[in-house]
Amino acid sequence: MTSDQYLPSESGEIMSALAARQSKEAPVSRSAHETKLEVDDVAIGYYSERQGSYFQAVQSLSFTVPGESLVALIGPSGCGKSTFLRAVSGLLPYQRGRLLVDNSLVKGPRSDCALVFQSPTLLPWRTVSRNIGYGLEMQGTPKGVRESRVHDMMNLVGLEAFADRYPRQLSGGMQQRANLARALVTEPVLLLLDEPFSAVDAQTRDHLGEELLRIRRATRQTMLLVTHQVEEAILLADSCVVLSKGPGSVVAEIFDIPLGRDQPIVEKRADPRFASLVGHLRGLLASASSVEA
Amino acid sequence: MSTLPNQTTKEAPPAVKAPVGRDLAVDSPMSPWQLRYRRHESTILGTTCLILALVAWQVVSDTKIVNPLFVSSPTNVAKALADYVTSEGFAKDAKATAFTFLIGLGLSTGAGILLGLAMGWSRRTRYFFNYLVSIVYSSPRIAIVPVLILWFGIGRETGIAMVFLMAVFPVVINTMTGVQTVDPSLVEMARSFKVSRFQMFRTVIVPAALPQMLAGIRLAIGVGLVGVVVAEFLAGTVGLGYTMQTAAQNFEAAQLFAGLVIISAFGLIATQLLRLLERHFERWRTA
Repeated sequence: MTSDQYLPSESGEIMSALAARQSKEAPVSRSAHETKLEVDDVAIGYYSERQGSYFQAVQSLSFTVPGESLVALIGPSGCGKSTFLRAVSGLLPYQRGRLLVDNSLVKGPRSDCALVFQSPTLLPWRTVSRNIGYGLEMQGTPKGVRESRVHDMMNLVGLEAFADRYPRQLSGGMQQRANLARALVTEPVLLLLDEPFSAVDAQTRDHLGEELLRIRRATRQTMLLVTHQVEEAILLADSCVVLSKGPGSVVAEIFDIPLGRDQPIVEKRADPRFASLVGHLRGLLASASSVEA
Repeated sequence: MSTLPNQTTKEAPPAVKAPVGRDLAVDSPMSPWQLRYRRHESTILGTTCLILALVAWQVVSDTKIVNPLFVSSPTNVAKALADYVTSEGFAKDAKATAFTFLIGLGLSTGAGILLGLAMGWSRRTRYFFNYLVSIVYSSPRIAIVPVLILWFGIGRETGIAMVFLMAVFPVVINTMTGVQTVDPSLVEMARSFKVSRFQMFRTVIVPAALPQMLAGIRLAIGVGLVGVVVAEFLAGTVGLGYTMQTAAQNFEAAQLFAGLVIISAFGLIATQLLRLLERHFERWRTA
């Protein structure tokens, strides 16, 4: 499928927003906040021990995440988006260019950046509240402060009744909330989400998406969301960075999603522009996948 | 994403399941007696086997099918056991054996856990010690006792060294395997929070490897007991093993078996204490 057939006439404003976005000097966001993440010509490659081969995951990425925005990073599978997210969080080194979080260079794991993993990765021997407080505990936050922040966070994500349960006593959706809460409670400058809703069923995913938007309204948290779900990207994000197919991914396109960041998911879905945005993104992904690198 | 407008219901927590066992269909309704039997089936069958063995032993001895001088009998062993336990030599023997065993086990547990953690965590440390550990582990360490006697002389030190040599390997190998099989995503999660190496071990590696470590210690108890008894056979001046060795030389089969019973009881108590520890650390599994 091509992108054109999914572009009805009312999407003209999308295209103009898109055009503005693509010219590099244009203001990146409606908000006047400063840039929280700056990605400038970043390349990532790794040696695969299993295959004994070198793999250039990311060739050259450049984009920015403005304060209080939610940017979705989307691309075909194998394009290195999760690898890239790990580099942003400092878990993997990058080869070239610059990664700046809050205007300081990423050199390794940092306490002002928190990662929400694809699987819940909760410590099974810790109760839910001690799991959520893990990051704070490791950063040496005093016990009293930690406990009150964890308590507030559990209220925010709706886990207050499960504080003393162990992870295995929780449903997949609740484990994922705890995963989100553990990252959020450290109040990071930038929250990185690695396909956080891909391991739960569709119903729970919709619900968690709504929760994420609600939490975002409450906390004004800046987020970078990696996903391969087109609808998820359109419904949750303010703007979308599309990667080409790997190996050696580059940014194929960046465009804004003008559905209103504080609109509930149901409203966004009912918006007449929703379908055209989805179609546009699908088309981009389809052409990104066919590009030979 | 599927459309489910205004969904407000939260997911229900899953029902808490029994930690072990499964449901077995039975072909007819169970009476209270059948139920009682079924619940204690493993105890009943195991005890039956023991009783049968003791009875057979007694019969073989009483009917003199085999010379009672060599095999003794359960009643004679019980008598010898009662005599031995009440004698003043027993307290001295038990204390000596327990001391040697516990010091040796303590040293091997400590050293084994440290080496196992290092070998599990660091690839280079593993490569470095790999051959040494494999060679010494696969050699018949009992055969080293004469060398140990040469080094440490007759007495306690040889016993401790022997227990250490026997018990350290299961701890090292199990701890190492435990660390190597820690879920890498948990390690990555911890790294993303910028934990120190000590924090990584304290909050992720050790708790995750703990079941394996405890299993290693349980094996160490078994082989450590072998070590202490063998060392006392060959290089002891006191202790349960030494007394058994003396009894064997004097054709006191009952006394020999009495010593065996006590050592088995020793091992059983140690293993049960460890099981309590395991339950304590594993309570999150069954909560």
